[in-house]
Amino acid sequence: MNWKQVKNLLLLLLTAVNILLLAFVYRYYRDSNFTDAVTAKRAAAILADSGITVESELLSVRNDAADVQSCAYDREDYLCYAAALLFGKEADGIYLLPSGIRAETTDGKVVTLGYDFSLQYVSPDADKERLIAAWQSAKSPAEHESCQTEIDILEELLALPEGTLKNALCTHADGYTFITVEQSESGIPLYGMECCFGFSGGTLLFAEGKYCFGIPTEKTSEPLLNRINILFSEKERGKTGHITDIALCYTLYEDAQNSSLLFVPAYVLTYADGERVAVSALSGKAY
Amino acid sequence: MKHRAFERVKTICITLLTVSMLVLAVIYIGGARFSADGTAIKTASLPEGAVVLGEDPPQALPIYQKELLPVSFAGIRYGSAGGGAYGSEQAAAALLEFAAEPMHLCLSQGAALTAVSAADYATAATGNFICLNFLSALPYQMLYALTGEGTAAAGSDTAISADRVLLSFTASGKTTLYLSDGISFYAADSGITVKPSELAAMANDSRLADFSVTENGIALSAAAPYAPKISLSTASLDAAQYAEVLTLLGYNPEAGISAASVAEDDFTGTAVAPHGTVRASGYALTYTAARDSGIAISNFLDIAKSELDIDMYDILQASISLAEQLRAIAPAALGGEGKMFLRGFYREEDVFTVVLGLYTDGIEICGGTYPYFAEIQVQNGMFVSVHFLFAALTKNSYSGALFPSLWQYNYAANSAAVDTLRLYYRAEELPAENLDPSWYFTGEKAEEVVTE
Repeated sequence: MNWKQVKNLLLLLLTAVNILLLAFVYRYYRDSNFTDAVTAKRAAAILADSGITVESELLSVRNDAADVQSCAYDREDYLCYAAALLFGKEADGIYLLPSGIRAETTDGKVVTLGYDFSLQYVSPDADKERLIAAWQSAKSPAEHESCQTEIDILEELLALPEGTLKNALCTHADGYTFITVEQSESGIPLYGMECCFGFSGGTLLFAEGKYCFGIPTEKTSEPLLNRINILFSEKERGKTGHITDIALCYTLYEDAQNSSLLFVPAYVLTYADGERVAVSALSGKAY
Repeated sequence: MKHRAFERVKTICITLLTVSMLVLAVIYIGGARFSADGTAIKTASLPEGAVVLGEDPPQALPIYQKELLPVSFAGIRYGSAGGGAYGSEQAAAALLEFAAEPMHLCLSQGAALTAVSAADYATAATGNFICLNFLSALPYQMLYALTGEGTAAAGSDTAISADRVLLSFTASGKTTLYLSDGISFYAADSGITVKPSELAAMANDSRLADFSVTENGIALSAAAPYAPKISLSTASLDAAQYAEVLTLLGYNPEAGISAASVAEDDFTGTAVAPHGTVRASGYALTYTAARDSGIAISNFLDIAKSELDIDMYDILQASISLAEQLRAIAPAALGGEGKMFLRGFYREEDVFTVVLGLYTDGIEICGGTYPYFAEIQVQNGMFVSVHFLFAALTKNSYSGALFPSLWQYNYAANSAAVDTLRLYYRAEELPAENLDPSWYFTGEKAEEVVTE
C-alpha cells in the first residue's frame, strides 16, 4: 500500500469519525436542553397515577433559563423611597404599620405601602366612590393611543425607560383612564406584581395592587429545575388536579441579613380550577 | 503539477479532519461540564434567612439556645447505670440539653430556694441524679435565663451563685435541684417530675465514662479528657470594620475614620461623640460613656422597652446582642474559632456588669493578658462601659491525652481542700502558639498550678 492509498483511507476514516462525532454532539446538546417527547409522556403518565394530569406537550419543551437577580433592599427605606416616588417629593409623615407604612403629605395625600409591595392610594382630590366604581366596571381594553398621555406620565412617575409600558392594559370608564401594569424583569413576569393606576385629566388619582420599585443590579447564574422536576415536587406535596399551563416567572424574596431583595426564578402552575401556584425553580418548594 | 496540488489538498483535508475530530471529541466528552445551562441536577437553596417578600424574617435564637452556658463536665446516675463526659463531648451536650428544662423549672417563680448543708448535697449525689459543672459561677437568675424561656425566676433574699448543679430524682422522677459554688449549698424545689424512662435512656448512653462526685459537687472522671492545642494571635480591626463598629454604636463613621490611623499594621482609632468615646487599639475595643450618658440598650433589644421597664434579663440580652453584632463585624479579631459564654453577672448599686468569656471544647481561655473576652457595664438602661479584648483563636491538632480529673483531684487534695477543679487554656501573653490546656484548682490555699 503506497502513501496515496493510505491518505485516501485516512480521509475516509476521518470523515466517518467526524460525522459520527457530529451526530453524537448534536444529540447530546439537543437532549440536554430539551425534554424529549418520550420522556415527557412517561412523566405525564407517572404524574397521572398520582392525580396530577398534564398534557405532555407542556413538558416537552426547551429548558428554561433565568438568572437569580438581586438588588439592595431595606424594608423601611424602600417604602419611604416608594412613597417619595408616588408623591413626587419626600413624605411629610411616615407611620409604621404592622405590615408596612402609611405615608402622608401635608396637602392630604395618603398612601399605604405594604412589606409585600402592596400599594393603596386614592388622591384627596378624587371622588373616591365614583372612582372605585369606575375601576371595578372598567373591563374592555382601550386603544393605546387613547391613553398615551397617561402612559407617558406613569413611565415618568415610576422612573421607567420610555416605552416600557407599551404593552400595559388600558381601560376607560366614567371619564377615568386606568392602566394596569403587569411587571416583568428581563422579559419574565414578576409573580403577583400587578398594579392598576387610575388617572383623570393627566393626574394620578388612584393606585391599587402590588408594584416592585426595585431594579436588580446583580445577577448570578443557577441551574434551574425543569418542568418535570417541578411537577414531581407538586406530587410530593400531595397536590392533585389538571394543570393547564406552566410558565416561568420571578418570585421575590427578602434577605434581611444581607439587606437584599432577591428575584428568584419560579414556575407558575395554573390548575384547571383556576388555582395558580408558584414553585421555586431552584428548590422545588412552593412560594 | 496538478497531481501534486491534489495531494496537497488531501493532506490539508486530513489535517483539518483530524483537528475537527479532536475538537468534537473534547466537546462530546466534556459536554456535561461545558453545558452549564442544562437543567439542575441538585436543588439550590436561597441564602439562610431569606423569606418570601412580606413575611417577617426569622427571629434570632432565644438567649437560652445560644450555648452561653457550656459545661466542663456532665454526668448522670440512674440506678446502676450512668456515667459522665467532659464538656467537649457530645454526650455532655446531650445531658445539658436534657437537664435544662427541669433545671429551669426548678428555678422558676414559685419554687422554694433554701440553704442546705454540704451533707445534703453529698447525700443527693448518692441517688439518681444529673450533675453539671459549669465554666464559671453565675447567679441563679442567670442559670434560669440560660436554660429556658421566661422572665420570672424564683425569689430569694440571698445572693446565690453556682458553678455546679445537681438534679436529684426520686424513683418516681420527682426532681430537686441542688446548687453550689463549692462552698455554699442550696436546694430549689418546684415539685416537677421527670419521666424515669427518659432518665434510664440517658443513663444508658454508651458514650459515658465512669465518674464520681465529691462531697462539694466536683464531678471527677477516671477517663482522660481530649482537647485540641490552640493558638491565640493578636488581632485588631481594619478601617472598614472600625467604620461598621462606629455605625453600630451610633457614631458618624466618616468622622471616626478621619481620626483613625494605621501604624505598622496596628489600627488605632478614637471617635468622640456627646454620649461617649470609642477607642480601637491593637488589643482592645473600648467604649466609655460621657457622664450621665451612654448608648441605650433598648437599641439592642428585640422589643422596644422604656428605660424604667428594663430588667436584668434585658441587660443580659442586650449585652449578648451587642457582642454578637460586634463579632459579626470582626469575627477573626473577636474570638476567631472560640465561642462566647456568660462568665459573670454582677450588680453593684445601680451598675450591672456582664462578663463574657471565650471557650472552646468546654475549656475556658484566660490568662494575664486575656482575663475575659468582654466586660460590659450597664447603668440606667445604657451601656456606660464596653471593653472587648482582641484575640484570634485557632484550633490546632489534638494534643496528647491529659491527666484525668480524678488523678488531678487526688493530687491537689493532698495539699488543699479543693473547691473547684477545671481545665483552662492559659495565655500569659499574646500571641500564644500551640497552647495545651492545664488543670487548675482553687481551695483553702491560694490558687495554684497543678502539673499537666
